[in-house]
Amino acid sequence: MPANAIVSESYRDQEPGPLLSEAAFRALTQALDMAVLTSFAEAQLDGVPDLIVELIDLYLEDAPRRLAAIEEALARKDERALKRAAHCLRGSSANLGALQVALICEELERIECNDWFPGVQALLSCLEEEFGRVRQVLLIERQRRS
Amino acid sequence: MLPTTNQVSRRILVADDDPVIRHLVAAIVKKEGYTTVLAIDGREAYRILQADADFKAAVFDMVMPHLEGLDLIRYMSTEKRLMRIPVMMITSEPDPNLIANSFAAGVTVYLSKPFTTERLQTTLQMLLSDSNGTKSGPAIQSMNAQKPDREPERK
Repeated sequence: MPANAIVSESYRDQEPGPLLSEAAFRALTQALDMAVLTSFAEAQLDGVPDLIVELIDLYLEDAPRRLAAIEEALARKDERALKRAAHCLRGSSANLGALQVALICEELERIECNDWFPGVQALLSCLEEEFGRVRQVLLIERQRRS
Repeated sequence: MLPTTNQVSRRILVADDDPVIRHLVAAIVKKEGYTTVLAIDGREAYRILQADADFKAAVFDMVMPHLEGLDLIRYMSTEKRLMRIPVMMITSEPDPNLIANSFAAGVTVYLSKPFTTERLQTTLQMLLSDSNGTKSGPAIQSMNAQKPDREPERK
């Protein structure tokens, strides 16, 4: 599979996708520091499933739930719930090398409460876009390891 | 592998509501030769600790639903059977006051996110460095000095 090919949006149903433009490929490769993620292969035990694949699967299951929680909290204007979801997503994202996602989450945690709706909405849009890139990179890595 | 410090128990309690971090911590702990007992949040960790004190150490996330890491430590400081268990606190909060409060409450070692395998291994070695399995230094002094400021949630 070419390095700059993408897979299906659904990582459970992986199919090679079209080739990306150079700019799109660059954006993808900047979305996630693969060296950070793959460094955890050091903790791989013999005779058990691939730890990196497990981490990818867990992240791809959990992060959309956190994004949905942020969106729901925004709709309810529930600042505490929004910041808690952003906090959790920041931790796992930073640890797996998705630094842009982590930075946007950090901004969500810090944003001022007064008249915060437009700012949060803009950050959430950025977050969803950036997470989409991270997901594509993770899907490629997952397929490579399968 | 870490040196064996207690032949009775090689179990480490890991509590984190983030499944990615929980799985990662557990994998690294197992790689070091220990077994893990996992809790999906502070409340589950509290229930486990109510019934079971046979842990070599505990690793808690600072921010968890229902019961936070500091609340767990304050509860542990009130129970003689749990006081001896050294605790590592993991957090992505860089707030120095929060870190100071963690140590004052009885945290043995502190690990900030994001962490690498090596950093967690090193911190785990620090956590388990006391050969008799008891807490040492400022953590135990603070633990004795500070009582919990509220009761943990109960079902």
